[in-house]
Amino acid sequence: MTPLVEMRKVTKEYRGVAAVKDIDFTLMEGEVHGLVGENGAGKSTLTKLLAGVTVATSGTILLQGETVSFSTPAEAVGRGVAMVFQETSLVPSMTVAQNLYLGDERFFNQLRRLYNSAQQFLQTLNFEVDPWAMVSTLGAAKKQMVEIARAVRQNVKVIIFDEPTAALTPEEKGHFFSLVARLKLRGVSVIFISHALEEALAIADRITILRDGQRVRTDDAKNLDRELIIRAMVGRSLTGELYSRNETGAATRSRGRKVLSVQNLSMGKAVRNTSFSIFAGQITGVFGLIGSGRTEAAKIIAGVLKRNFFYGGEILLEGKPIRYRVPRPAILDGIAYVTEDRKVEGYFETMSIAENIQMGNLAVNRKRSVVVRMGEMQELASHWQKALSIRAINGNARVVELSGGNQQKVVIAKSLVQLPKLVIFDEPTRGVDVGAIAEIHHLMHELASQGLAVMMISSYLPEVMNVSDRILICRQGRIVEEFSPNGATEEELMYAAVH
Amino acid sequence: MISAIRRAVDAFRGSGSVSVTIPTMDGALRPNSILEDAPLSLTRSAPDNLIGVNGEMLFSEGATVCALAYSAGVIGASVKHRFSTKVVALAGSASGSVAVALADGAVQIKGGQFDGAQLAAPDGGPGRNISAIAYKDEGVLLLCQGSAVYGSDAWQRDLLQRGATGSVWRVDLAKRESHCIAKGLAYPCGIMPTADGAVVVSEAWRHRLLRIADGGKPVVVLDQLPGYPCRLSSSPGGGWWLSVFAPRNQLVEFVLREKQFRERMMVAVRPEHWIVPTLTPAGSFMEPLQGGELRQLGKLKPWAPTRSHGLAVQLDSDFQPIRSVHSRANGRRHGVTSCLARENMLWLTSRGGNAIVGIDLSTVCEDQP
Repeated sequence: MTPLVEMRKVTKEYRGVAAVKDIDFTLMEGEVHGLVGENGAGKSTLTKLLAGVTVATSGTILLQGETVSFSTPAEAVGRGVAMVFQETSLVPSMTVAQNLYLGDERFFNQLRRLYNSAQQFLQTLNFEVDPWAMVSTLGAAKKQMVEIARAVRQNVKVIIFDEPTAALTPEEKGHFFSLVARLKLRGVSVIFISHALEEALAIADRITILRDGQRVRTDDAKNLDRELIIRAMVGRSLTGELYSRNETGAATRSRGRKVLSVQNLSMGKAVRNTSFSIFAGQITGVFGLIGSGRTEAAKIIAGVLKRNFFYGGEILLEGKPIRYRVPRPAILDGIAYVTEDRKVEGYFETMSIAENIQMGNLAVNRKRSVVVRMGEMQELASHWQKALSIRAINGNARVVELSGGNQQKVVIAKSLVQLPKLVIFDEPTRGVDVGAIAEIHHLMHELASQGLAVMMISSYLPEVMNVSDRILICRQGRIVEEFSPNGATEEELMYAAVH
Repeated sequence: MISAIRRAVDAFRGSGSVSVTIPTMDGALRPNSILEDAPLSLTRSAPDNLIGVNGEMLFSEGATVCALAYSAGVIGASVKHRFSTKVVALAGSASGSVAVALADGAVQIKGGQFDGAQLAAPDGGPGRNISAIAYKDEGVLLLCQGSAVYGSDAWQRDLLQRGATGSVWRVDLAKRESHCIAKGLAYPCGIMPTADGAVVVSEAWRHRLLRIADGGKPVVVLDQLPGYPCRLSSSPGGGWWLSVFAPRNQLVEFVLREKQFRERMMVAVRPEHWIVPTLTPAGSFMEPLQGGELRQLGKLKPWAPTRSHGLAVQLDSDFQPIRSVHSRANGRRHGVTSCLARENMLWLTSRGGNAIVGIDLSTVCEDQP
């Protein structure tokens, strides 16, 4: 049987450095093919070659037995290959429906018909997105849904999903998996890139594992398990380091003093009369579905968003009421917020690691000096690069050139350089490879052990259960329950988050 | 001037000193049903102050002081002293004498060096509403006067009047002299001497604990409690147990801001239906808020608002909460006015629930998140 897609000895080099090297890859018709590997392993590069985003330095790509070389994504779509990017490629100033039909407009467009058909189409995919909504007003998860819907609408033969589920709730993930199953039945082939190995194992027919730009193994999913994949990905077993409290020997830490007390905090419909406390020397995990108001509450605390002007509630930092209009006073008071959307809010992508860390330092520059000494900046950067194991050629490397895990570490370093007493991590391991996940978890444990108050917002249950010392559940804009990780089950947490 | 402007802005926005916010019950105060589920209990009629004296446990009930007996899982009580008026507070000394404060302002001493002594309410002294007493040493008593205006039965009215007329007194039993060591307090109703010679007082209407050193100003040692703190007792392993007789909720906080509403309510509505904290759980459909408890999918939601609650909190030696026992909105053992830890047992008087409850602390999880 001829493969639908075949890549032979494909290599892609950037400035003489191979991002992928001599890779052989096949995709059969109606197959779901999982592509896994650490950040920087070459998964995105490999699929971008197929989708016409970049052109291979050497090697051959065959589509239905015919040699192809796409120079633009439009060309690839024309031949039936579409890619759903991790970074959204939607037009923010247009509505969902307009984005769905972008490029298919007629001379005269009947808006009502356009929106009706967009609504019907989204409903067939079980995506709860308002076609009239402006894309700029959507959260990361809904943007991802529109992105997926647009790819499905193009009626292509191959769809490449790059981390499609990272921003989705468990329920939405269920819809997505059934969508993939329906596409498969229609004979559409799917390449599925994911860091969530359980997902890859659950929906993929075959899995290809990449490491350092090379293919390590391709096998049927039924012949693989999580442990085997991780070992192949990183060359060692990381299961114990990742999500197992017992194996790492990390006991639940006891409470220190109350650092933060949030009382009846309200902000529009997103945060509704929520109250909770954060204690020093502990990691407080906050679990909830996307849209449950976790991020908004954290952003109010950090001065990124403002609570209601009237009866917006109170926030006490070490017993002192605080109300910030901008983040800087929050930073000066010792509150650091590590954003969930690092690409937009976390770093300056064209700046170097050193410059980014210096940016974080500038926020606490109480002297407001205008001259930055390059030597000091480099010294500071190399200290944090070493402390957080940020892997780059040197401190002058641009952040955009780093892998997701290292980018996240730069964002964390940018906050930690401010010497905070409360650190809020919002989805700290989203889109981060397994090696970096273990390192970030280790860092959070270290911060808590040093006596800092750590708040971790996460949508991933194993992470919340095994990293947190106490767990708060957020639902419909408020904290509704508190659990101890000892004895709580995933079902209990999910029940509290949903019902 | 600036603080006046700030108050005006706060009143407009509902923030700062006039915000209707309450601290959450989480961390050490995470709700549980340990108090409600405790199997060991004795039904009594509004038991109030529970103390330990020389291995004996005594509690006040109406105009009597009763002894509480516990042996091999069996609990019983017998009347030890009877008085002409209601007993409002008890204290026991190291030598075994018992000080009994009565509703008429008198304090009687039973046993020990000053056996039979009766202190009448001195002029300008803690004449009415003695809410708590404690022995500093054999010859010195410490007294809390909850309110200088209202008696102990009218504590809800004192709260609605935003009373801050409470005081703490030091009484020398030998010289029969008393002097005030702190005043202007918002209903002090728990008192304990510390090892360093200071006094710790619970200030109910301000939801905090104060440390008052000799001649010094009161210092806040624990603030922002989600309820109304009551009596304190020392814990055998160090630290303290604090009883909290009612919870705070936003409706009551809101009512406490609205002076005209409160005044009209006190005139037009029967006291049992005022929007104020209570010791007893719901008993009438006319209750203003008690029906606020909500059951969803067979589960009672933890944020169900309630005017009464059962709560006792263990504090460490720095007065920071370690753990707590609760009887929640759907429970009956509410209005805990005192607690006493002995060996592995914690004894509590649920005045609202008409019961004395014993909790075996060795069966209760040590660590709450």
